[in-house]
Amino acid sequence: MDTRTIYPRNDALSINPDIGGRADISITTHGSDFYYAICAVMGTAALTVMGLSFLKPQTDRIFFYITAAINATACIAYFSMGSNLGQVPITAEFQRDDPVVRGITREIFYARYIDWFVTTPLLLMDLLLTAGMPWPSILWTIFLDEVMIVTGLLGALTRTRFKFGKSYCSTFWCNYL
Amino acid sequence: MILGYYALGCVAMLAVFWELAGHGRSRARGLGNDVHRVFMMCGVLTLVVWLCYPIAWGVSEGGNVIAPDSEAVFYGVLDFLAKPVSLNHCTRARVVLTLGTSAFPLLLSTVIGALIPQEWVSAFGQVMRCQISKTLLARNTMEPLLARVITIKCLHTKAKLWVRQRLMTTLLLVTLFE
Repeated sequence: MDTRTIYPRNDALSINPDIGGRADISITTHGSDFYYAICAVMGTAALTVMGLSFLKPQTDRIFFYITAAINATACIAYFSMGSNLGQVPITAEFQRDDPVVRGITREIFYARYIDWFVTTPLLLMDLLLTAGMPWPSILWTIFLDEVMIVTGLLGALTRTRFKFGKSYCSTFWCNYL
Repeated sequence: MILGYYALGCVAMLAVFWELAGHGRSRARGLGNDVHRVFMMCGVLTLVVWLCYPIAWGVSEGGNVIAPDSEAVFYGVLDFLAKPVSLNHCTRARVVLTLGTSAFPLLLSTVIGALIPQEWVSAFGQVMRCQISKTLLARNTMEPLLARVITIKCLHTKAKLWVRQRLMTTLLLVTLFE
């Protein structure tokens, strides 16, 4: 044990080993490190944009606010995932023999979808405001986007063939992969 | 079983793409050539990156093919490209509008910007400046800025060429990243 207070380490997986249950197929410290790295990038971007927003009058900051919100949300989501939180073990529909994905349950990060639920509408708004789309169209596009994210989340949490839909899709994944 | 969540999600995604590439693009074209060009640049990057998400989902949460660590990298790279990198375009516009084509746009660009020569960034800044001016004029907001907007030189052929090269480099880097 290192006696220093601050030294490089990542013991998130031992602190949060099985909150929400432990999956057979789950991230290792390498995955956790990567999540934390992305978390740092997103956080830095968010803070930078927040700082830059002060260069503009308060009424002209809409795109700064959008960008800062997107990056801050992603930062929190990646922090959760790196900490092995915001996850739930789900029985995998396709059981594999490959050693890297061997096991019954797989770790599904629902935090990812909560992140996307917040950020993807903002990303779309950023684009569509640039194009000067009327607000009903923007709202409709955002609705479609939310449908996309929610179906992604529900599909990820499903363990039966309702996940992929058409049976030939499942056959395709089983045989081809 | 005919319908599943994956199929539904893909349909919703195509609908979003239709809104972006169809309605969004025609609206952007209505605001002038420069807005259209910039919208295309940001939009194409977004669409290309977003198209990779169903693949990532299919091999990780869906198909259970790649390990959760690989899933972390796959989604991490995609999120990185979709968020800080692509938002960089739009943020830079506002920065350029405030500070001129100084070193700040370069500072802002996280990875890709650092690999791009300064003059390309300046050219890009010019395009974005035109975009802002057109958008502002179109929406009739931010009157104090109009005086400045009128003095802004619009896009010239050389800048167009630079921007095209920059877009190509970005896409190339995206490919290499994957």
